[in-house]
Amino acid sequence: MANQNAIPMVPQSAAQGGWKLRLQRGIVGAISLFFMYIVLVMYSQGEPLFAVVMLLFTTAFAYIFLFDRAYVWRYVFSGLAGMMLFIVFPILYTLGIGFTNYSNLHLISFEQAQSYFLNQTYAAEGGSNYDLVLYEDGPDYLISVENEDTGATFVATDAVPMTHTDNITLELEASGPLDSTLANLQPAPRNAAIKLRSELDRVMLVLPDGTELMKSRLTQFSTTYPLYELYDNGNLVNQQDGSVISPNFEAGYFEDENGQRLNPGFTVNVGFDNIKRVLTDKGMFDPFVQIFTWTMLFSAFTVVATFIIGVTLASLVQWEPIRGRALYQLLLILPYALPSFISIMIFKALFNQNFGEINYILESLFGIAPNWNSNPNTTRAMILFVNTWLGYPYMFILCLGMLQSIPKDLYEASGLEGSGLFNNFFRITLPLILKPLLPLLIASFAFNFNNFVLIELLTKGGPIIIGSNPQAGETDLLVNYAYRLAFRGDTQDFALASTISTFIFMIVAVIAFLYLKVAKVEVGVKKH
Amino acid sequence: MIKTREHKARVIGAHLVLIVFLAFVIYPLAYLVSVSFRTGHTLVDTIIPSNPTLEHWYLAFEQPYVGMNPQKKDLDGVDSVTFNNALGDVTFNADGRWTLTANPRVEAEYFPLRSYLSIGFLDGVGRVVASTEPVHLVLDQADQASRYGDEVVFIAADGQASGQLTMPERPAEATRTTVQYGNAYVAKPTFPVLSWLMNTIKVAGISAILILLLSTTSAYAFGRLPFKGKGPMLKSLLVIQMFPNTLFLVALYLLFDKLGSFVDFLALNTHSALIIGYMGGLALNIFMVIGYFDTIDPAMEESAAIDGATPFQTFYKILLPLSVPILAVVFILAFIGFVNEFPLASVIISDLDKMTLAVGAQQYIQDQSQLWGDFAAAAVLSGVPITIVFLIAQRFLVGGLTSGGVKG
Repeated sequence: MANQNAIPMVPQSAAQGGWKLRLQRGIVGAISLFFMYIVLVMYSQGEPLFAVVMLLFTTAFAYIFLFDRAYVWRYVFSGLAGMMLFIVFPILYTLGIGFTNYSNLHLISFEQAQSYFLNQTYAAEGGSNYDLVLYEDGPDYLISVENEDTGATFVATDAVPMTHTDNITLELEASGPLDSTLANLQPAPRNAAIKLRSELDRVMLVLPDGTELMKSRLTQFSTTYPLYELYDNGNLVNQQDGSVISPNFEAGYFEDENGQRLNPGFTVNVGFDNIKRVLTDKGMFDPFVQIFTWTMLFSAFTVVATFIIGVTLASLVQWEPIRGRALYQLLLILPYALPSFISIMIFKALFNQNFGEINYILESLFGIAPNWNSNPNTTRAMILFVNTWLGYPYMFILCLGMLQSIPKDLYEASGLEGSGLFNNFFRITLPLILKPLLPLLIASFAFNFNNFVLIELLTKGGPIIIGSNPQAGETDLLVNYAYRLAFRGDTQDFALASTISTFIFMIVAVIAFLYLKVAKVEVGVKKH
Repeated sequence: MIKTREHKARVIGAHLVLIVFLAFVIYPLAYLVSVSFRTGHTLVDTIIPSNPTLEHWYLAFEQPYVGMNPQKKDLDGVDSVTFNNALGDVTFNADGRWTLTANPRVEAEYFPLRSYLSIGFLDGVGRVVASTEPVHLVLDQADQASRYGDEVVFIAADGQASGQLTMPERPAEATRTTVQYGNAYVAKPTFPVLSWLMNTIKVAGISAILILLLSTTSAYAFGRLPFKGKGPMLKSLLVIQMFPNTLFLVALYLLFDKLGSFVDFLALNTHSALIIGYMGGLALNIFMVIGYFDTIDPAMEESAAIDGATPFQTFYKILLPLSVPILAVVFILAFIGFVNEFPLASVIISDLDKMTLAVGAQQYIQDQSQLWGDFAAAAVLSGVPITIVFLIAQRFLVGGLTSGGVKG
């Protein structure tokens, strides 16, 4: 592994001018300081984990760029950092989510869910209601309330701009009906209470006697008390009716005595539940197997079909008696040159059920109009056709390069022996190009295995598999299935999507292992 | 070699196969161009548009388009019909006399507005069997009157016009008499296509330059400099590059959501976040560059090092100038890859103005409204430059794609 041809490693710092060294240290120091500032921001926002990772990153950065011993790492540091952050970390994170119940029913943490319940209030029996009147004070608003029963009026001691996003508390003071401060102010327009409703929700008013008022209706405040009180055992006791709700850390919900679940749920670890669900739940397992099979067939078919077309075209274009070969070559790679988000949409138009050219031609020639949207098999046929169209130029280019490297005298020799066209192809051409192409074919398989964009733009995975729960598409690839679970479904089940992604990771890892076996990575300069 | 008749037949056969295949390749592209010139958003038309219009192209260039829709009103059994053709209110009498009182429906900046009047005879299924030569109307500011000749009737923006159409005999096969007129309208661009194009060039260009920078330096270290853990690290890179970012979109979304709260330029819905996110796709490019470096004899670098050049100087002054072809390949492939990239861009960017073309183009084709014409014009406008760049660069690519870091 060690490279005999390596050139001297460490630059002689002494040879560099002193000012260069100082400049280098200055720049590295300044950037490190900026990174340290980010560490502080992360820590102050309550993200110690991010802060620690960032601190390690900063340390590594400063060490590598200041000390000559780590000189080589300066060349790979940024690249490696980028790949760690945007590939390795997201993969690990996805694996982690797969063991939780993270979905839009369980978006928040336990602490957030608990504080949600503790922030609930209720209007107590015998409490009084206060009508809200808002006054405009320049850009600010002055809150005043009037007791429904006694008519006593109270005014906040300060006007506020009503732009707060956190809860605020305002002190009230008693005010006569003809208070001079109020007389000088304009009552706010009627719709102000609607416009400011979310801000008003976060206002707590405190009467001079210490009673707390919270908004109870659009323009009404009432004496309120917190609905729940936290007990030492973690249960929350309802102050209104005395009922008890307790957190269920297996389901990720608060439950009352009858086991009734209360929203919002919170995120908990569920261990292997998601994997179990995929493998045992009939509504998931059957579609999963079907989608897996389709994904494999799709990738295998694409690789084989594009390779056959690519190698055939390359042999034709390579054949010397053909004139205009450069032009043919140029036109044949057009599908590769055109952005795929355009060409896929062209085919979406061409395969349009009612107005597309393809059904028009099929109808006029054979009197058939296949259904390209709702029949799973014709939809799959369309996908295979389109992907072959999109994919053959890559194989064509690869084969062209390979064919150019086959010595011509091989063909001349076989020609003298009276060998035919097909014999030449199967006995000389194919064996010679297949071996160097094998790793690239495997890479192509891996690419098509995760060909998210094609399915997303062409069919969005439709039609839906009957009996699938949660919904799965007949033409979904595994990666599209995961995307559908995460972003399309009514539950947005990120955890289940991550579980599917975990399966894909394992399959891709197997493909990558095969690739490593076949490719035999070589490092270092070739000995000539 | 002797040219037999069989040989000739084979050559012709090969040409035929290639030409038939090319028809399949080129037809969809011609179809796209055709749709971009069709009136409306129809998919049903001949490949040469039967009623060509530049409307979609005006909109793709973010220009408003003033056009007119053909309309008709029945004349049978009534004394007169009144309608508004967007130039003004028209009263059309059954004997062919008409008056138009200017009452333009659109702002003066879109003048001149055009319309026409003619008599059309329809048969039972609504097909036009005969129609008279139309009278062309044009409405513009009064001081522009001299620009228009006698072949059109000029109407000032606050003026009036009237005339008489000769009513021909109704042909025997016609069952309805109608007045046909053009209803002027202004189509305003719905999507910022040019901004999308600029965004795409900006994001893809900067990302490709960064990829070039990082992959050449990394490849230099991996290919030329000895350090601990190089072999295992290269193998892990090879595995890593097989995991596309579509597999962990959720995690990336949540990651940028988090990072954005610490640093502004990594926030969701910014181009900088998208560019940084694209740096994950580095590994493949590193291998391409390593593969090329492997073909360069290190003797020159060694002699430079003996003369006292630092590793960076040998890299920058000797190795890089020798590697220009692979640098071009890496840049072009990366650039085109980022132009085409859809999943990450669609997750990170949500503002219409900030979208890249790949995400923006999908806005035309929604379940409810399928604006195929506008899509086609925008697609041709954006696809042509990319395609041309690719075709110019393709002679580099034939060699470049196969000279990856992997040798069988």
